Amino acid sequence: MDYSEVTDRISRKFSKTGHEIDRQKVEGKLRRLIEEFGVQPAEAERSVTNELNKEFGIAPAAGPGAVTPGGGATEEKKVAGIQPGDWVTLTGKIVSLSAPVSPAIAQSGIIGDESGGIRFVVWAKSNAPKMEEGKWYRLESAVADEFKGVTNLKVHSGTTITALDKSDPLMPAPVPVKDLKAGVVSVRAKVVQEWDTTHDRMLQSGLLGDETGTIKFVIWKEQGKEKLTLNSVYSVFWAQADEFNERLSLNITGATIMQEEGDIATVAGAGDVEVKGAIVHVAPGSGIIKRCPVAGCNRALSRQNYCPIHEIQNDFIYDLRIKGWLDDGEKTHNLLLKRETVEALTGMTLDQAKEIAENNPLGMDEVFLQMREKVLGRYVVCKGREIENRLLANSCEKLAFDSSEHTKLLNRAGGA
Amino acid sequence: MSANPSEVGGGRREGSFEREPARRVFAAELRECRYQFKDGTDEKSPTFVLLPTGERSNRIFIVGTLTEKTRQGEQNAFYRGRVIDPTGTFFVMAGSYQPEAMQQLAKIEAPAFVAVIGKTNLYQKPDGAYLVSVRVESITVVDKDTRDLWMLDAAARTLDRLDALKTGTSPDIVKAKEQYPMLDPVVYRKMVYDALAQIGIYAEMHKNNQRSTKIKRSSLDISNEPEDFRKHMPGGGPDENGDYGKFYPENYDESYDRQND
Repeated sequence: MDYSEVTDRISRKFSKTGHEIDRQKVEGKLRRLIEEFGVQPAEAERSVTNELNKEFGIAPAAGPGAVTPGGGATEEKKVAGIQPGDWVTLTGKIVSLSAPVSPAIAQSGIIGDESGGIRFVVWAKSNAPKMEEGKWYRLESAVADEFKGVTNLKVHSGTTITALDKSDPLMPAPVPVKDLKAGVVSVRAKVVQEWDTTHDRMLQSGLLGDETGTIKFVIWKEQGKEKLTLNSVYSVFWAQADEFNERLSLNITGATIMQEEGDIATVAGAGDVEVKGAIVHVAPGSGIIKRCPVAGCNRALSRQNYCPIHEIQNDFIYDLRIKGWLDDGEKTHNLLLKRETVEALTGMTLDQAKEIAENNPLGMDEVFLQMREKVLGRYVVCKGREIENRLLANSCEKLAFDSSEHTKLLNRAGGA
Repeated sequence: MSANPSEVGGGRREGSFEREPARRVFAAELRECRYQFKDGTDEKSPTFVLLPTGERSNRIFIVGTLTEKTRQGEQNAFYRGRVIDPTGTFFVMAGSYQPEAMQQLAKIEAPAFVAVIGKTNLYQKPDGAYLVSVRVESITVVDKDTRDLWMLDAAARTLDRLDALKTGTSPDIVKAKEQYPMLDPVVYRKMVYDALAQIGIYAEMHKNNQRSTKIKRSSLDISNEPEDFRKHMPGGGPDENGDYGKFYPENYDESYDRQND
């Protein structure tokens, strides 16, 4: 097989950047890859090209096989205009830095300008100078590509980083929640729901809403991070919107968060759903339960203190809950009440329940029976969020008799 | 699809599982049921009785007064009970297939306000008479407030069904019109009105007026009923705007009663 054609092509590419290649060496490498290792010719060409790139200190190109000469193709861009595959030069402010997820990454974070923000990573191999949060830099010849559907910027050994003597504040305009797209975003919204955290590394999760929609948010545990307050309004700058199962969620761990004065309107249904009905069933597993003490587990244990994951756990934690069905006559909702709600509804505190569980001959069953007597067949109004017909109630109160409702119904019955 | 309502309170989280809701229905309506059907051909497909007001009922929720209960049978003991609301009587039962419910019922001393969740079943007795019984899933003692709330709920739901019956075209409504051709919505409205009139201040008023508060069974069967139901109301019914307000003054007293008698 003849490799001179491929070698010519490689040679031409590099001569454009002023580099001379050793034709014999290149041909030998190609032959070795193709004949000895069974590599596809196109792949072999790419592999050799990349090797030469490294040798000459040229940044690898975004597209396969395409070598972009340093300089020429790089454009001065605003963040908002960056597309995957672009070679860009931009001036921006490091608005947030986050812990690198891999040793191959020296730094990662978000760089922003007036037009928006973009995530960046600095490869460890690039030997780039460390950038500082809050400072402005000019990045020359960085590469934009796509990761998990989001455009981001790679700083490699061919990128020139210049620190700028500039300290302008940068305040991006918030975007309505319904217009959010995956990437770096800024919103002004209210914390409409606060959820139980599902992971021990999670500091807080919940729902942010404005008048156009709602979005899930999460804050991961990191030094100096604080929880948001329910029903407060915040401006959240430079948050990361990720798409998962076609739904956006907002990671605001590294975002700049400012609490706002006053209140804003939120979209209907952003808060809790409300169901009025009768509790028609109290399921086994209600009452006082034992939970697995292993951090982040919190699973309900069996009577023998057995956790499905962590096996026997005799240092369990007591908890209260009620599982059952709430029925409004048209639809039956699977209801789950957590401790505070159970205590308020039944009037039995965790301590009282514990006392019964440990001293009554029926033990935990007695708590179940007493609670069932107190709530079964009762009319309640429950507020919470409903996920797949399961109502996770934050509040559940007994319904009171409303005499105006009575009069209304009398009129309705008699007035037809 | 694989809904399995014979499973008492089956709380499993199968995607397709949807629990049959518990209908709110007064005794006088329930006892008029004459038609029962199965949804699906499976042995475990749910059974429904068709309410005369045009809705299927697999399960009901009632709050009333347990007036008596009797234990029957030796080996396979079961309990029967009568639960009354202002319009009539529900016949409830709990057997050894509902051990929980049976124990709950066994513990309760009549009379007591009870909340009952149960399955409705239609039987025909040897003499041809129909009986709708309620197989108890659970029964608990409740207070009068809960009873009053149920009355409002049952009234609202019954009125909803009557409204839907006027113009609705759901299969249940079509079937009800076919099965209960004699149904007169006015009679049912009166039933609802009379039931509501038994709550609170209205109940006091009613006692003084000595109006008939229960609908006689026959009254539901007669289609040319009623004489104007407004005659039954203190003050003669609503004004031309349909407004009852002035007939139920907040500071109601006996003199008001006498003046109307």
